[in-house]
Amino acid sequence: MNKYEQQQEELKIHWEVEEKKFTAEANRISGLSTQYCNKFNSFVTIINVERHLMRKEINTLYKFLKVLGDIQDKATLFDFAAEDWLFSEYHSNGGNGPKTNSNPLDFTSRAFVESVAIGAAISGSSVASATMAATATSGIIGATAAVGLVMPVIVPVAIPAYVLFKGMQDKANDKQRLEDMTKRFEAQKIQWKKELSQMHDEGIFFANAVMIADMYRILIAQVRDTITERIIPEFNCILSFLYADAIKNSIINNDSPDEPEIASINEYRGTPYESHYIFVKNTFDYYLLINNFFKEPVLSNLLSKRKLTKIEYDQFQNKLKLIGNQQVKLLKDTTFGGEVK
Amino acid sequence: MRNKDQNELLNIRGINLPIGAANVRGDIEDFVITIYCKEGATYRFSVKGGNICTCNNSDVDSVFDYEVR
Repeated sequence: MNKYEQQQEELKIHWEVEEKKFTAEANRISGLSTQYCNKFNSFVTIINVERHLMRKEINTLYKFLKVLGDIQDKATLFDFAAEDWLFSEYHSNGGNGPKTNSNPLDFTSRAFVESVAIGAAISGSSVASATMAATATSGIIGATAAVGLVMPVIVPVAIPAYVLFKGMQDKANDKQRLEDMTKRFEAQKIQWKKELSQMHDEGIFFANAVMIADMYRILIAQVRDTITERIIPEFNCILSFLYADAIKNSIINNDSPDEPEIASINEYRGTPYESHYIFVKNTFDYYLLINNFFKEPVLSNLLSKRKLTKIEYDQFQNKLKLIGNQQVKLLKDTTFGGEVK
Repeated sequence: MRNKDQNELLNIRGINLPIGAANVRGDIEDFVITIYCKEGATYRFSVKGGNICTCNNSDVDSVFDYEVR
């Protein structure tokens, strides 16, 4: 075994080690991505159920606003677009898993031989030209080569020229083979790195998708709680006030208080009862915000491209922030803090 | 007349009109209107000088002052 053959063996071992490392890392990332996908899908299922349950609150809120704030001229009752997009394709086509050769360690396989040949062709080398280069550097023999034609030269030794040339040619072939293997290995390492990078990016995307779905889920819970526990009780209080005020006017004017007609909330602007007007106005703005947010399939739009930019993520967060700020704003003007039993 | 939405939303199961109390006190502009919501909340609006001055939510034992001058 000459030194080139020895180096080839070492390279094979090194290749095998690197291949195992790649497979292990690819499997690790793939496993994490699978976990994130499953989690995301379960979140989407929960989200769709919670959004469906939230219809009742939204309907009630809309009716209140219709009575109190002439909302029908400015907004319509919205329905939820279904978030029906899941990461189901992740496992169905296997397209995201690690891509490896069927048997990358089989250097004698047809695929490997062909790839070496193609690699050599791409790099412009050939056995013949490599032979020429090797002999030229050795200084012992010279050879000219062309495709299919090798011309021996006379050397001043007793060994038959053809025997020496054959040995040198084998050695040159081994050297060429080692160089081709090394090139192929380097190319494979670049490919592995690229695949791992893609899988890593995809894994991060899935992790972000889970985070976004979770934020979305929490937002739904917050909106439902805000409507149920804060806005509706306050609207009951405000409506009671409007009726009490109408009844009071009926009593003072000696009219029948049986069917009092309530005034528009706008008429209380600039009066001691303005806090009720402000609450209704803030709730109307809140309704418009959640209307714009929930009527679109936000998650599907955001994640179906399988790529999430920072701008898109920031826009999503800004929308959540706007809704959150509006919640804080409207709760400042509740009469009793929105408490109800 | 209240429309359908108003009827549906008001959720009033009773209004305690304070006519008698007001008459007893001899001051038609000072009285209390109690509105009972179906969910259980009870709001008592006190009227003084022809204006609603406070709102008392008995369920949370809290009074809101409208600060009517």
